Amino acid sequence: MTVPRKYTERAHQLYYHETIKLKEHLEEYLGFTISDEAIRESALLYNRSRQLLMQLYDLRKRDKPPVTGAEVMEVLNAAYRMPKEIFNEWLEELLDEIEASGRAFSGRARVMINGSVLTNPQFIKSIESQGALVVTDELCTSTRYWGDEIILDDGRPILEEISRRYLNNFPCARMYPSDVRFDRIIDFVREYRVDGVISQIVRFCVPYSHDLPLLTERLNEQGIPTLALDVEYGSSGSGQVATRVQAFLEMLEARDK
Amino acid sequence: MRIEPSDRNKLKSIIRGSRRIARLTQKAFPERKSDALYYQMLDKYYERLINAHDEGKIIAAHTVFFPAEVIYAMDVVPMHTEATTWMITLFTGESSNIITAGNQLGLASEICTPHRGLAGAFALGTIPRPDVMLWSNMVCDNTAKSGELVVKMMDVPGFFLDRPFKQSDEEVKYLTEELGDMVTFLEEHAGRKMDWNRFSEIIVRMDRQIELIREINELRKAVPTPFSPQGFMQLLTADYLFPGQPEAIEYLEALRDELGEMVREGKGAVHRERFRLMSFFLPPMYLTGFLEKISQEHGAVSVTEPFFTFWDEGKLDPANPLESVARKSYMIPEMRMYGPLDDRALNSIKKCAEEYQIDGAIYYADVGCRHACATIKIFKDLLNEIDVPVMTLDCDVVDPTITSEEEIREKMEQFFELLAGSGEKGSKSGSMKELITAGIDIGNLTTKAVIMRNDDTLAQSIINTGDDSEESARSALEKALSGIGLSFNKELPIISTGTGGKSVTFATGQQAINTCLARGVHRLFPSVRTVINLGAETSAVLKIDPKGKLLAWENQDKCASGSGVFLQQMSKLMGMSLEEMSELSFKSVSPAEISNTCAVFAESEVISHVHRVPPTPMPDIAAGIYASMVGRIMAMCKRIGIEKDVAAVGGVPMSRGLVRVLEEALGFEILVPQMPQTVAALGAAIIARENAEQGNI
Repeated sequence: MTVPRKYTERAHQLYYHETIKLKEHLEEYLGFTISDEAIRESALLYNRSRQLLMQLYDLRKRDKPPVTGAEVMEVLNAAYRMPKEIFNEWLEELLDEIEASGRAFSGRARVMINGSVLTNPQFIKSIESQGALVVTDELCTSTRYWGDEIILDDGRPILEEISRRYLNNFPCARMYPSDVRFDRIIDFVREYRVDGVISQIVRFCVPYSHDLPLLTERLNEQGIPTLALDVEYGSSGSGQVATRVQAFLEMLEARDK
Repeated sequence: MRIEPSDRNKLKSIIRGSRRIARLTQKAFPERKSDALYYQMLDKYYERLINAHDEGKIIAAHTVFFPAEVIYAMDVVPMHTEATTWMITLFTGESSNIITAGNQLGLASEICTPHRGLAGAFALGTIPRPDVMLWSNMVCDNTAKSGELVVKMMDVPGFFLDRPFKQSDEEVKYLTEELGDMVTFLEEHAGRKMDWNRFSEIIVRMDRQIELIREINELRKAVPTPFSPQGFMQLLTADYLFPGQPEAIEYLEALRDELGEMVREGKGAVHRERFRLMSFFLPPMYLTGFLEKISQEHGAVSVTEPFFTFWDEGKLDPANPLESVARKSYMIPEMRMYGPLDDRALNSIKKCAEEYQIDGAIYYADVGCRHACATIKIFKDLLNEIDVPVMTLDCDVVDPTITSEEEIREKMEQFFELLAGSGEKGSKSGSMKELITAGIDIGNLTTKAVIMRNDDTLAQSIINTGDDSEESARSALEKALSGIGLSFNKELPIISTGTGGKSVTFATGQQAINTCLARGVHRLFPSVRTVINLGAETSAVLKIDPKGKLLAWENQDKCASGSGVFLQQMSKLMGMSLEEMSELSFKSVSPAEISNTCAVFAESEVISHVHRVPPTPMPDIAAGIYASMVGRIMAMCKRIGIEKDVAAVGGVPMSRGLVRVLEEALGFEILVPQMPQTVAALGAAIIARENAEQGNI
């Protein structure tokens, strides 16, 4: 599929066209037609997951969130691996359990993790074990995955609504202009009251490496310190990462005084 | 971000350099007009750039493969950012400053050097501040991203041209409209309107330009081929700098006429054409002269570059200049490599291989280009299907610290040996009188010598390699000889090989390491078809035929991870000998997870395993280290394809623990010689004997 790199109306039309072709291709391969009804139903199911994950993320906005960043990563790992029907049911139960548990975590600093792909909860654990509390994230495997709902009530064909959501959702670093992504990161910093941002740059994911100098500057303008960690995809966080996070936290604490 | 004021002197050095070369070639080869024209083109391009503002024109910086035709049609002065950066590195030799400045901006080292370099060049003021910045996703993720940094850093307006991936009518329409927006953007900033007549004229010339390149391609099919071994880079530059311009036409016409003349006279570009090569991607710019030289020495010449000079079919329509530019972007040879690799793209490789009668292909694997590197396996498999060997050369297009001349020479000569089929000589045993020969393998860590009498190994020795390769070779040889009561004499046929093989002046000949390994393994285990060589600093997987002839190989020598030195380091870290580590690994219950991509990171990972509470059990760490190395080795095995039987040689397979993990990954047992380190020296001794026999017969 061609995926445009802009958000213009022209780009949306091209991507919609590509989405139609994808559907036709699937229909030909599968030997049956995919009805608008079925797509709408599926979109509702996926939207429900997005709403529930939003609820989970809302908990993290509290002064003392009842979940840790590593735990949320476990939930996210389930989110894109499990059938949505079961996932939604389980997440609803989990949200009730969390609410009833009375858990409350606090840390030396409220941290946001951003970057491309991260699926290893151990990596977040190694950051949190230094006393940081990861309160939100901006990753291909987190907010970029579930971030925006499909709009179902503004009268466009359902496939177009889906294609618009996928081109418009929380942007990947490949999209232009980068400020759209940076603005949303800064919104997150405010909403989740983030003290510092840790950018985990997975080696060879160059769009993120290219954005790093500009994003760092934008965040520093807002008074938000950043720590860039070059990591291998899947890394569980080494002693080296721990040392650097430790120093970062010390710096954040020194600023507070 | 601190930006230095721009310094015209750097551009002037390109102008001065080009003028000098143009003058010299005119004098030395008056019949070769095209060479002088080429350098005059560079001169003119940069002269115009320097004078742009004085002449009231604006400068539009643009990334590689950007449709500069539109810029020319607006009478705006283009500045090709990547080409200008590497021209400057070439003419001033200042690549490290520029790359370092890019690093200092915060660009990670995996961003390719041309793009780290261009950001650095702007920051240093090495290239002038443009009035507008234009960029696009032609051809890669780096081009798509580097424009925004320049826009913000230099505080100039910019336009990003979004080019769709495929070539459907909707996508061509999208790109055409994008181009229309860009014209509006340029009109606004240049303060003048697009000259559509001028644009149409440019399209007519662009069409002619593509036609000329096709004519040149036809001439290159001749045996011997008339175009210089590395000349294709010039064809590329003509299109980079002067698309649809009279300068490019004049140059290409002169070149075509000269090549036509040579073909009529039966003249070739190299003295004695032996190897007709296909080239993929960009050779290191700073080694252009060296590559030319080694090509001449070995009679090797690039005759076709499916993704650099082989344009797709199609004709441009001057009545629709914007759509023509959009369509051209899908005809550009490189865009096939970065676009969908469909049958059409792949068939063009096969077609080129046949029509140009190629013997082999060289893949210049620029370490920073993830797109180019991602296609290596596909092209290699495709060419191997039609029995064309492919060599991958790890290199960098502008950074000389990645690959040295010596390394490239060694690999190329190894490849030329393979193409020449030097492995086929074979021994004519039985007809020979008694003959003693020696093979010496000077490795990074140890030097090995093997003495043979006819087909029997008489003695072997292993010593540590010292500072002086020649000294080490002599010591190893003397040690082996003294063991059987012999001493060195000048009559002894000796073949040297390995990292230091070239510097052994007393040897009767040199042979590349992989040929020696193939021959040595074949002698020990004739059933072996795949050889895994794990040395101190390099590892390789070789494919050999039933006669012990080398068919193909995969190398890894740019990284310590997975090497013998890495293993040594790890055993030191764990406070035990290599043997103890190997023994211990057999007791592992669940191997520890250790990164397999970086030796330095792996070290800190091992330390954290040791200090973890509770600590990871030592046997699991040992097994984890082996597993990480095996991951690396398996990647090479899979690239080349495993055929049984498999042997492991070199120093590393002395570790039984590692061999066990490797066998588990492969799913079958492998053969390990009693002395796995001396196999290359053994092969060298065998080759010494074959050479001596042939000399005697």
